[in-house]
This record gives sequence, structure tokens and C-alpha cells, in this order.
Amino acid sequence: MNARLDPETISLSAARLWLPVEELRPGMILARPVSGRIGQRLTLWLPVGTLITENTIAQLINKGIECVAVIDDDPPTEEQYVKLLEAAQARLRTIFGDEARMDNACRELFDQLCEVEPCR
Amino acid sequence: MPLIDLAQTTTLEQIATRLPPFPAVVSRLLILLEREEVSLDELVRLARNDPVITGDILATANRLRRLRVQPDLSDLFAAATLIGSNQLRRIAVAANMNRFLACSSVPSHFFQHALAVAIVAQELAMMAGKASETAFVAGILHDIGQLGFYVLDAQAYGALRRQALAGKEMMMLERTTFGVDHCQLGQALARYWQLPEVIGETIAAHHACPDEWCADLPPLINLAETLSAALDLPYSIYNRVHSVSRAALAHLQLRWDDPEMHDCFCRCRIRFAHQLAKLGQTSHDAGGERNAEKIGEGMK
Repeated sequence: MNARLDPETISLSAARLWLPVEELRPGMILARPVSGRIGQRLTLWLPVGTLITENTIAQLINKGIECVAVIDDDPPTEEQYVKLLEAAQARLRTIFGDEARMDNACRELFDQLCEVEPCR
Repeated sequence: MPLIDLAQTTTLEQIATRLPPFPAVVSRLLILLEREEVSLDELVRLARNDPVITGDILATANRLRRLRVQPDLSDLFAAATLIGSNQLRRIAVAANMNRFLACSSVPSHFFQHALAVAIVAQELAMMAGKASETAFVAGILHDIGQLGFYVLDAQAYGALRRQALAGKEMMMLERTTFGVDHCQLGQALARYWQLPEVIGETIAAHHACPDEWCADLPPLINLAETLSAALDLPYSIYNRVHSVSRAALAHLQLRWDDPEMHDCFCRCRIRFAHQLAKLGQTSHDAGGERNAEKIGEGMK
């Protein structure tokens, strides 16, 4: 079990699939909220659980959204996901170097990246 | 290898003529984009004379039409109205900048790094509420000075890169070999191409480490370069992160622990992979560095 994430977080992350908008199909469901902005002005907000329709896809394209997270119909098992996560974290340790020598600014970024779901 | 004198226009002309021609439509677009609200009309007029942008606009609009089982559009204004000005701006910038980069004379490692930084810069700009298309262009061009060195003397630049990858300081090596570093040459090229001054200033300052930043674009590109290495975009055995500019984060009011930042990281990865796939490439590894030298030799 990965020491950084609890089982619920692992389960939520494993069930998300990030896709370019071009690959979206009606019937998919948003797994992360989507916001569109012009400067500081919010022009679009779609919450988690939004059912994607042709109109939703049109909205996303119209607002210049490039990719979104949807619920994965065929997610990896928890064991498979933890293995992917551990491989990603090992790679991060190569990129950032020895954890004991990391300065605080690098450490903050390293810690956040360790919790991000790996690309699938 | 004679040292570069940036005061000599002929030197810049020599370098610029060996680089891919800079898309004039992007220069005009950058001026338009200095205004937050740009009308659809103005964007369509700009796009109309560019077959690449026109093609992408029609393709995007018709993808939507087919989802609704509607016939394809051939009218540019109708297509532009359907996809909206946000998407139009993105297409206009991305289509031309990708074409500029995808020119056969540009080594793939350079292309992939520039694309990665451009995408990350654009995503960070949106998080920070800054001009995202300008960030994209600045990301594509941030290391254009290195490409300038490459077209001038690929062997010398290849040797210099090998030393830098082995740990020596890159910009000092550039100054010793060429008389200027890639930030200085990049700024000169941006001026030669008559790009907005902010682009040249960003290219010049993107490696700076000030305690405080004054403008928005240089810290954006600075952070984008750091983050693209941290995200392993493109993949390289040499990707390392040794420092992160707290001053850049503070200036842009960005925090890595922002709840939306994880989504930003994921979008960067997916957008980069998707863009490469569309161009028929995969994430480059360091082996490509050696091929790049051969390409340069073939250009002479």
C-alpha cells in the first residue's frame, strides 16, 4: 500500500481517465470539475458527475478546453494502480535527486507530483 | 568559429534565413491578442488567408457537426461562429507555431522541448489568469537562440550540449563558444522578426533568478521549463529539477498545493502526448540528441 495516499484516494484516482476533448463521446461522465476562464473571469463551470452530451462537447470546444477527466469504465485494479504510482514516484526521485538534499521549494513540488495519478 | 556580433544585422539575417520562416500571421495575432476582447470577425479575417488555420477551424467545427449527425460546413465564418473565439485563438496560434516547429530543419529534441514548455506555460497562464496564447508562443520560442546556434554550427553546438548534459553550465559554454548565450540571441531574433517586445524580454529573462519578478511572462516561462522537466515532458534520462523559483510562484500567485494544480499537471501530460500523437511522434529520449547532430551536418 502506498504510504502517501489513503485507499479512498487511490480508488478515486484510479477510476479517472484523462482524455483530449477530441476523444470524448456522449455518455461519458466527468470525474473532475471543468472550468473555463478568460483572464480572471469564469466563463464555464461543469461539476464532477456531469453527463457529457453533444452540447457539453460543443461547450468545451467553444471555451477552448483541451482535455478533461472522465470516469474510467475499465479502471486498473488497486494493485495495478499502486504499481503504476510507485513506478512514477521512483522516476520522480531520479528527476529531483536525493530527498534528503532537496530544498523546500523543490520538496513542495515533489510532494505534490508524488500524489498525481500516473498517465495511462 | 567567429563570435556572434548581435549589433550586425547581417549576422542575424544569416541565422534567420537558416531557420524556418516565422509565421507572419502569429505576429499579427499577438498584436491583436494584447486586447482581451478580440472580435470573431477580426480573427476570421486573419485566418482567411492562412490555409493551415482555415483547415483546422473547419476540421474542429465539422467534428462537432458530425457528433450531431449534421452535414459538414465549408463556410469559414459559420465554422468560426460554431467553435467560438476562444477556440479560434488557440487554433490560430497553435497551428502556425506547430508548423514552424515541425519544419524538417528543426531537431526533434528541440521541437518536443519547445512544445512541452509551451503547453505547460499555457496551462499555468490559465491557472494564473494571464494571457494564455501569448504564453504558448513564448514557450515555443523561449529557446529559439539554441536553434540559432544549431543552424550556424551544429557540430560546435552538439559538443557544447554534451558538456552541459555532463554538468557544465550551459550559458557560460555558449558565451565562450559563440560570444553570446541563447537568451541574448533569442531576444535578438525576436526583434528581427518584429515580435512584440514582451516576447523578446521573456526569452532574454527566462533563466533569470531574481528575488522579485516585474512582468508576468518571464516567470511563467521559467516555471514552465521547471515543471516540464518535473513532469518528464518530453521523456529524457537527463531531466532534472534542482531548483524552483519561489519568486515566480509568488508573482503569479500560484501554489503547487492548489486543489486544481493536480488537474493542471494531468492536462499538461495528456495535451503533450496527444499533440505528439497527432504529429506522428512519441516522447523523445536522449538518443535523439545524437541524431540531431547528424541532421545539422546534413544541412550544411
